[in-house]
Amino acid sequence: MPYILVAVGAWVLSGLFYSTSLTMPPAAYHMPRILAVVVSILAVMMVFDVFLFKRRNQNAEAVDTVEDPTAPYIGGFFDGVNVLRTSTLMAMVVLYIFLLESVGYFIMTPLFLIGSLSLLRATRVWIMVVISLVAPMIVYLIFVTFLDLPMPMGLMK
Amino acid sequence: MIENILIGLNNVLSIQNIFAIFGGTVLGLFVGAMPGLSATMAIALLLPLTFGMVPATGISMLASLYLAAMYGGSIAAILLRTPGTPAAAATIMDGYPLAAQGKAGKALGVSLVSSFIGGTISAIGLMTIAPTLGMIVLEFGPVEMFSVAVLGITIIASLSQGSTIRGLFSGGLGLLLAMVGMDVTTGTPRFTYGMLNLFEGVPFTVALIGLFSIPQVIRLIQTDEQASKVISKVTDRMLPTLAQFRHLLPNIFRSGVIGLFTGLIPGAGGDTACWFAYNEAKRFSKHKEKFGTGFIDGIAAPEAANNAVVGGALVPTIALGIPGSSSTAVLMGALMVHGILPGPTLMTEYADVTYTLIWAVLFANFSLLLVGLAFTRVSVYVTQIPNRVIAPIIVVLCVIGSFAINNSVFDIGLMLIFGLVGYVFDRLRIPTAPMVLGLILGPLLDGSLHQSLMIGDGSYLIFLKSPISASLLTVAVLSIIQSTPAGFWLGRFFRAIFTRKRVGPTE
Repeated sequence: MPYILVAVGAWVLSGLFYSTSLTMPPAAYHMPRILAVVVSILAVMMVFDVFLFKRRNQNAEAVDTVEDPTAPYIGGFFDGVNVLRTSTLMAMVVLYIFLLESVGYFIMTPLFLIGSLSLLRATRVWIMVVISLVAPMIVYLIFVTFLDLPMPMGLMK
Repeated sequence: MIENILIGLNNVLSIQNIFAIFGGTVLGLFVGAMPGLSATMAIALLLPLTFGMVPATGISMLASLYLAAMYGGSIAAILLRTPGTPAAAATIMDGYPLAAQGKAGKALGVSLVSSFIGGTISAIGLMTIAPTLGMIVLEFGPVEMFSVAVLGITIIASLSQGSTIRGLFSGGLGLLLAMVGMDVTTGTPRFTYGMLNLFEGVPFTVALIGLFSIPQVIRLIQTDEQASKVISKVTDRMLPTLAQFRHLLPNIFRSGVIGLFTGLIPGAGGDTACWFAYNEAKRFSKHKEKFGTGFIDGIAAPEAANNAVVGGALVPTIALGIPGSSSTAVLMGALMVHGILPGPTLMTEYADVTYTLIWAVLFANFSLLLVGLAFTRVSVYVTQIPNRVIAPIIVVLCVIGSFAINNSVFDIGLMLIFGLVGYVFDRLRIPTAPMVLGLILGPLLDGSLHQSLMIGDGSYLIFLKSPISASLLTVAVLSIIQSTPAGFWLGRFFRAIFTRKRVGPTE
């Protein structure tokens, strides 16, 4: 099932690119059209390959695909994944990114770090606080002070 | 060529480059020592840092990091029985048993010396093979360069982890995404859908950071912290004795050469080389029964090989523009960030940067020896940092690094999308290295196809008229066929014919 979803995603993307290329001059559409077709075919082949693999192994009691990294993954997509922890962290990342530009690096980064470290129960509380305050400063020193790279300062602009 | 070599030597000896090499080595050592963090991820994360540096300095730092991470990986392998990097997997076999006997220092010392010699062999190999190959590539036109790019994608797809079909799918998707942005020939914006941020194409540095770092973050937070702090102190002497060194030398040389040549094959990296060298060391040894019990030969072989891979993998990267591994693909991305395009110009227009990189690989080995002797005992503490502390810090580095590239929040969102795609691919065992290569080689493939079609009056037969191009495309097709069931059937068919001929029709 996950492979079918990936393949559908690839077909949608390829289809979108192919249809968009219909309005382009020949020199611009050559390569994208070839690639859109190739990706669509490979997506079908990938699903077929996984289907064949599953059929070959459907009678086996337990298929240890973990030991063979070349075999397709036929377990459940979320098997062994702590869904709650992962999705909460990802939500925090999205929130961090969303507010970073308007609120600024020096407020959002310590908040994100303390929030995520607490969520993950990473270490002792005082160490989490120290990390949340010190790590953003070190990153700022390297990126801005030494290398003169931009940083979203938000409210502290 | 001699002039360029000297310019490179002169560049690498500048104060800032020496600092960059030492800095990269220290970082690589610590990153490699942390289980779960790969060299590729570290290079991708630190890539934005090189924006503020001159190209030669930035690339030297990243190359040193790559080399040092290979040794760093052995620290976790020896002390925690968990390879810091996949390339250190074979080191566990004898490294951990030796450390468990209270000789962790000896195990790390053998690993360091072997890494140093293996890395030096590969640097010398790089210095001799890359310029020669580069000179040949200078004769290549757009037709041949198109075929080189096709070959690069197919080889890395067929040799990388996962099936060929999944590898090719990933590579194809990367190439397709590389088509986004302004078409250089016609000036037509392609697949930007009104988003100005995409006019210059998908920023592959952003894609690299997402693809290699976010899946790692998700992996790091999955497991509850395991009590894997098996050996937490190094108390014994590190450097091997002269007698041990003399005993190890042939093994190290053989493994170094194995690593160098394994690295030359695109797609086959340190993880392949370390097992290959380990098995060969066992085969040549008079004490086969000692392997797996803490035998120093079993540490020296994989460590010499995985460091030798670095120089080997850089040969096709520099000479042909085909990265030999995902780490070198990221290094190639670093070159492109500085406006240096992979291919023949690396040996001409940007020869100063290229030769500085080559020298940096050589000097990084000496830096590794010094840094390794000074910091290995300290790096033991790094292995004890909980994964859940590292994960949020990696997220911050990903976010800030992606922002720094174009000063744009859009890029951070793009990085996250690529990160999630990378995670899905990772779960489904669809390799991401071909996708990265596709993103990097896409513009080259597109440009050279257009130029070739102009040369051939719109006919695709132009690719078969050039003998070099035709040969390269044949190898590309064969590399796909050999890794599919069709290759197996064809092999059986030809073997059957060959056997029948030898035995004779009367049998």
